[in-house]
Amino acid sequence: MRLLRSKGQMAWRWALLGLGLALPLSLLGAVCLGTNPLSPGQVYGVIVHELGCLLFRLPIPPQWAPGTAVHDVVWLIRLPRLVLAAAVGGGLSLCGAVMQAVVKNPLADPYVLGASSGASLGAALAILLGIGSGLGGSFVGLMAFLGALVASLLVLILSGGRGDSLRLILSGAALSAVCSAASNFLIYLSDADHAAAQVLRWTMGSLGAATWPGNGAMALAWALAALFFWSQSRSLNLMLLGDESALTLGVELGRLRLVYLLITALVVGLAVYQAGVIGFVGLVVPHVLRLIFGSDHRRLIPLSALGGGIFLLWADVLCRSVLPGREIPVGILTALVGAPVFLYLMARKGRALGG
Amino acid sequence: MKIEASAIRAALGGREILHGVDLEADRGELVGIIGPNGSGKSTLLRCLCRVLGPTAGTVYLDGEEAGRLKRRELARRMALVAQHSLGGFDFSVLEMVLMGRSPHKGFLEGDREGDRAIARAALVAVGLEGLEERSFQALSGGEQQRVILARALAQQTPILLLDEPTNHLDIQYQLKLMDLLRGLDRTVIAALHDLNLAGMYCTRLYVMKDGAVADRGRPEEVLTPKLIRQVYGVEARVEGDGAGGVYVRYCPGK
Repeated sequence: MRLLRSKGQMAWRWALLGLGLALPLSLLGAVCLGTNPLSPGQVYGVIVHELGCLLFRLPIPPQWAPGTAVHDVVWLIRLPRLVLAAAVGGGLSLCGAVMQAVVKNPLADPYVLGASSGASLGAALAILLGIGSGLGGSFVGLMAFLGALVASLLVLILSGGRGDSLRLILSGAALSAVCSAASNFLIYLSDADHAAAQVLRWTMGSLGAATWPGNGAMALAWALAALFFWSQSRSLNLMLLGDESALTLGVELGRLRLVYLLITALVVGLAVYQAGVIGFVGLVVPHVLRLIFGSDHRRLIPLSALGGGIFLLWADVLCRSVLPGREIPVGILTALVGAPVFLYLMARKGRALGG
Repeated sequence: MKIEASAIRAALGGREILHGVDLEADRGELVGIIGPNGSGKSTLLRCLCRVLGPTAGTVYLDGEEAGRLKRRELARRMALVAQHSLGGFDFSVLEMVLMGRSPHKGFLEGDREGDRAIARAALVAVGLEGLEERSFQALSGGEQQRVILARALAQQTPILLLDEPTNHLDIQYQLKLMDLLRGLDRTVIAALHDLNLAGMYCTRLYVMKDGAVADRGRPEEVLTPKLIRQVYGVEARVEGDGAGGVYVRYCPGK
């Protein structure tokens, strides 16, 4: 039984409006927080003038200009990171919701097709063997992106290409095991503890490497994927009924699954490229929203896309402020915060997952 | 709408299940398919609505080949009530029934008030009014079965196929369901286990055995002690009810 019942029709619209407002407000609120004490006036001054310059080509007064400490902290460090956090969190939650429907399994997450272990293998190859160093400065990330994408595509091929959900899960599990074994082997062979730690850090996720054009690409992918999957809500709902019922209702799921998986693989690959593997967001956020608002993807897709963004944004803020002078990998925090909330909701509901 | 199947063959896992089955049903009829487990009843229903592609043979809908129709088009003509499972997920009862409107909806088109009215009427027809906002997973097996039937009714197809629709239902709802099916101005084909229900309600029966039609006709013609012995290996006595239907009494231990 869902937590909000008869009021559901209206409640979810209010929730959508609320999350839609909360996301920009979170961005503007969180940008004032940090180790450097800056007043909101300074922070918004930088943002207003940068936006004025970007949109209307207005000149930036010297006290806000690039090169000043205020400008660089706000515009080059804090804001790109917050935008990336929102885009990665939103993208992962969205892909989690889609993936759970595609494989008709509530335990699925965005990495269920082996994207995370593929990414770690890519990163391990790059860090330990220097493979792909010709790809430029961010070659580790690119190799991780390629690893995630290749692993997802391989799973599609191994599963027989017909979009059978059980075969997809099993192929994903098998390929993940192979990739993990391969990267562990590489780490075992290499004597450099330093390099092993670097690979490990990649698999724990960090938003520290955010820069402007890159996070913009992630944000664009997030927005486009959210709109696309929102338009597919009806088919996503039918996926929960299974192939046969969907067929008698006029929708053939096999090919749709392949298309959805390709799109999620791209979004997840991009997220891995920019932030490593951030677990739990894509599993927990869709579930929490499903427990409150039900399984209808017309609600779940937009709510997940927004809710995941807000969640990861604040998780990242916490990561930077819990231990003075140190940053906790954001993946650790998402699990620490997400799991108890999830368990609490599940206990309150007291029935099978997902309602 | 008239449905005609001719020389349907079908295979599952490399083994041929149906060896050339003919069947026809017309508007207003309630056609029963009976036969022991594994005789091919479900497979035949799945071939009729093309959930399973037959390896040979053709299904005609008012003379038009079903295999040439698009899925959506087909889903506007035929609905199937079969086993269902939502895995670990859940929907509200109304959401489940509204999914029956899918084949009538355009890309990006939401459910309108008209669709909700159709869905509510379908829930009234199966006796589940007032349960719209309940969780589907929290319902009993029989109530779930009736929600699936309501979904098929909301699909508003001229042809309705049902695979053992009375499973999970208590006797009251078994009879109510058969009353409902008999009263529909549609072409209804149901695979049934219960020979008494088949004998009381169906206008015509097809008896399946080993993937072929062993007999066909009106219930009092088909349901004879001899046929029941041949097909099921069970001794039974059969009485007419005086109105074209029959009662079957089993004689165990003989």
